[in-house]
Amino acid sequence: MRSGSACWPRLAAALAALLAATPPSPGAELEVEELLRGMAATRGVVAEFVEKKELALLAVPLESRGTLYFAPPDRLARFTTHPAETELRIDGEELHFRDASGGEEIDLSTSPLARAFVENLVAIFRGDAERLRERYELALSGDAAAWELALVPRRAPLDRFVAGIFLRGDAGGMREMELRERDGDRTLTRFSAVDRDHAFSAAELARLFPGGPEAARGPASGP
Amino acid sequence: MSLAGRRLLQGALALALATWCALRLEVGSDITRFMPVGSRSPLAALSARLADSELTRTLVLSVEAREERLAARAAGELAAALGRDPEVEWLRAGADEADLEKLTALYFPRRHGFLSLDPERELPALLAEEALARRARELRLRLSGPASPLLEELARADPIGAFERIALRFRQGGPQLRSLAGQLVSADGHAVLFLATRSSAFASGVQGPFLARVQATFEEGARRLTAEAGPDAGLRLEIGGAHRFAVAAERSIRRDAVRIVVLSFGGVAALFLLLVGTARSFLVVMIPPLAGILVATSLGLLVFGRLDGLTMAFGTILMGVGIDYSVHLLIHQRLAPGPLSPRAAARRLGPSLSLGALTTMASFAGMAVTSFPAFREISFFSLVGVATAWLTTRLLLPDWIPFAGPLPPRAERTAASLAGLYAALASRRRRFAGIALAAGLLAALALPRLTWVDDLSKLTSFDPELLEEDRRVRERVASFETGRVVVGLARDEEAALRLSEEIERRLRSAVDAGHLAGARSLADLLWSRALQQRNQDLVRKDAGLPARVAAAFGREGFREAAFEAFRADLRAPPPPPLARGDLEAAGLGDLLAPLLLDLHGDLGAVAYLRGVRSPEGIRAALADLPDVHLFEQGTFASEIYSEFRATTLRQLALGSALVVLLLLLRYRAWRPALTAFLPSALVALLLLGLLAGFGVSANLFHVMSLCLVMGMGVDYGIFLVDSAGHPQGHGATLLSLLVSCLTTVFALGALALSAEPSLRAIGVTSGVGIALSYLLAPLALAWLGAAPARAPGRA
Repeated sequence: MRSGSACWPRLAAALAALLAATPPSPGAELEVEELLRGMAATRGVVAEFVEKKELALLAVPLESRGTLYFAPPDRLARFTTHPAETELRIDGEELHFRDASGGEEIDLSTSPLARAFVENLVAIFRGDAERLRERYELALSGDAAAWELALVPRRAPLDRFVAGIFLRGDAGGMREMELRERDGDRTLTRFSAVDRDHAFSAAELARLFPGGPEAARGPASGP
Repeated sequence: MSLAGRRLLQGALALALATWCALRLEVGSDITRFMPVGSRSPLAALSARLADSELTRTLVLSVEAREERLAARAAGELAAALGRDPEVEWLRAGADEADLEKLTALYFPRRHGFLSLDPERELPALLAEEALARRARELRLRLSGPASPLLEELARADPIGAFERIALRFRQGGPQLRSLAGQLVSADGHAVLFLATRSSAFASGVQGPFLARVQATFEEGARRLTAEAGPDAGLRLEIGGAHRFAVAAERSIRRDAVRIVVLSFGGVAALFLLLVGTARSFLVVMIPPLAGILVATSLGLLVFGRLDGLTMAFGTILMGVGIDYSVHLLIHQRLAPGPLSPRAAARRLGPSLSLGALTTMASFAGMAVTSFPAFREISFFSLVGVATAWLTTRLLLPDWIPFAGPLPPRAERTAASLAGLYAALASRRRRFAGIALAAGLLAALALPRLTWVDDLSKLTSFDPELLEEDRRVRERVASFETGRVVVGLARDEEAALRLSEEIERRLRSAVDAGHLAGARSLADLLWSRALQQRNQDLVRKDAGLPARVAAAFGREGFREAAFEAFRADLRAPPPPPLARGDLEAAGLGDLLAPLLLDLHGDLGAVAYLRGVRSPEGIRAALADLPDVHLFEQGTFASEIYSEFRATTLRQLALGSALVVLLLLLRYRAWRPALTAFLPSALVALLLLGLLAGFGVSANLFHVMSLCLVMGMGVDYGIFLVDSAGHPQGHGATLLSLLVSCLTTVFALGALALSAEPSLRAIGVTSGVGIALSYLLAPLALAWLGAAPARAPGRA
């Protein structure tokens, strides 16, 4: 049986990081470092997404919709509204998920697979191409108008489950991410309405990350 | 050997023993020593097991901080540091991935055997098309979430959710904590960690330093984190568990012991000096009691390894008993009308001293045959102490009496005055005897009102702040109750498992009825082979199940081919049912151990309870199950103590008959025998009558005090009867008894200042009893006018 359950949230987090990346101007030669550099400068990212999962179990793809929030340097929330309301939060090295049943939060922080993703995510957040290269084979193709960054895991435990992650974008930033698993499953996430420099209020952050310092300081209203 | 040589040898021996004791002395306050051992009763064995179970050895540490994350970080650092402590047997601060993997490996292949506790009734509905359709809809929804890779894998082999039911069962019984950054966190945001100590929670000698290490480790981490997070980090540690109470009790007993010994020793010395003595004579009369305590402590440490605080407190009482013999000998030797060597005086008083010591020892002997280690220890200590004091007085003290020097003239004057007082009393003996008998009659009339309290926990004082902190922490983690469990007794593993399944069914109903909040039972972990087999059979014999699964899941968009693993599992022969040995072989025996106990040949299937609201409701739910008990440690112990108290009272009556027989054998006449015995009997009656009259509930410690008082009261009677008819010796006896009485009252009076209610009960009862004994002994002598027909030991 497969251990670890956090491929998707980690990839979503990685994706959020790249959402904020500002690609070079069209026509310029693409460099991974340059693509990631925009990370450090952004105040925050908010994006809507549509995710299609093609699973071997299902004859038809599963579609989810929701919103993604990224607050530098290391906080990300992914809320779905369809087909059910779910909440995924990453805060530093912590990762929590609440499913549609509305039950208690699940802490995924201790999963070795999840931790691997967190470390990678941090590398992306920091625009740390060197660290990413330690863990993935990076291949950037295309040009600024239509680029694709392929990440192929170099080592366990990721390489046992993930065949590759493919981030695609254009001059406006990243538009979609595709995750291909070893068993043939595939998830394609498309982004829209991307706010690449969102200034989060303390109230927003308190609501998005209830365990964080903003929540500890006092009651917060929703974003 | 010369006198100096003998003194030197005795002194050296005493010094060597004292040094050995000082190096070895370990005082405990182990409540398990108040539990019966060696009993064939499985419930008694359960009682002892619970008192020293993993549950009792578990400490809950709760860390509070301004932010949950900070608390979790502090708890994580604390857990990492404490995990290396040699006293920590195990520590859980978060989910244990290794255990989860082992559990999965054992249970997943056998998942169809653990579907339902009532498979014939429940499975048809659970596997019906409608239920499968619901399951398919739910699964599809959950596959859209981030846990889909795991779910997908599970669903291929287990579309009906059998393994999830097992996982849910594991979690439902446990405390409802969530996880934050890998640390367990309570609903109110405290990071929590659990640890079990290797030593008993009541091994205060180990737990005191360990708790200090826990506190120091936390404070060190808190200082560092506060420096990072700012002064308002608010890091605070709270601890729940029996360990702190044991350590606090030991500290209290130690404080008491020092105070009691200082007060007793000082008071006894002052009284002795005031009434009869010089400093040198005081040192001499202290030799037998100190020798008694020294030898009793040494042998006690050899036999028991350590001594209980209560036993050591009894040591101070021995000082009061032992000094009687030496005072009696010293005063008689010094006030003898003619020249009388110390050894000749010892020979002359020998029979009185021997009879007095034997009757006192007879009073304590009854306790030696109980199944309570603590009371056996007290009895052993007392018997050895009294015997040593007696033998020291008889054999060694004559060597030291010359060192005492002459008694001051006031001693002789006091003896004469007391003899005069006795003469005046004798002239009015009918009146005084009438008063005493009337008091005895009143006491007898009050006896039916006497009530008994056998719950020893009510005789223990706990720090209210500690109690409150313990309550807060336990509520935070919804701990199971340590002293209240349901236990089913069976002859073998299969029967125990079947019983635990029925207990689980009944407890679920009791939870639904609101009688308790939850339970962790053996059936959460392991089922009988028969039940696993019934579940397996029902699933496998359901030939239409694969088709219904395919149809129900197909309607929700699942591919039929996706569930080939499920179908293959159903076609393959089922794995053998899971047994206790499988869990133990996988290194998971510690999960099972507290739930399936070996109790003197019986197996006890245990269910731990949480949030009990109605013990009566639980009892009613289990009423028709044979060999199933709602076991309440407190009630059980009270019943045992009640039985013990009644036995001790019977032994006291039997001992009294033995004492009367001894007295009759010695005096060969009923009148002196009755004279010697009557004061102690009357004192026992008056003491119980006084308790009844003042509305004080009597307890086991009052009964123990009665043993002591009656033993000493008979001594007074014997000494007085033996000295009757010898005016000079009679005055000396009255003086020695007065000194003995006052010093004993002082020694026991110091116990009355103890913070421990049990010691207070002993102090007050014994003090009043000894004083009454001294007053009643001359009265009985005057009333009955007895002198022994043949007094071998003329005094």
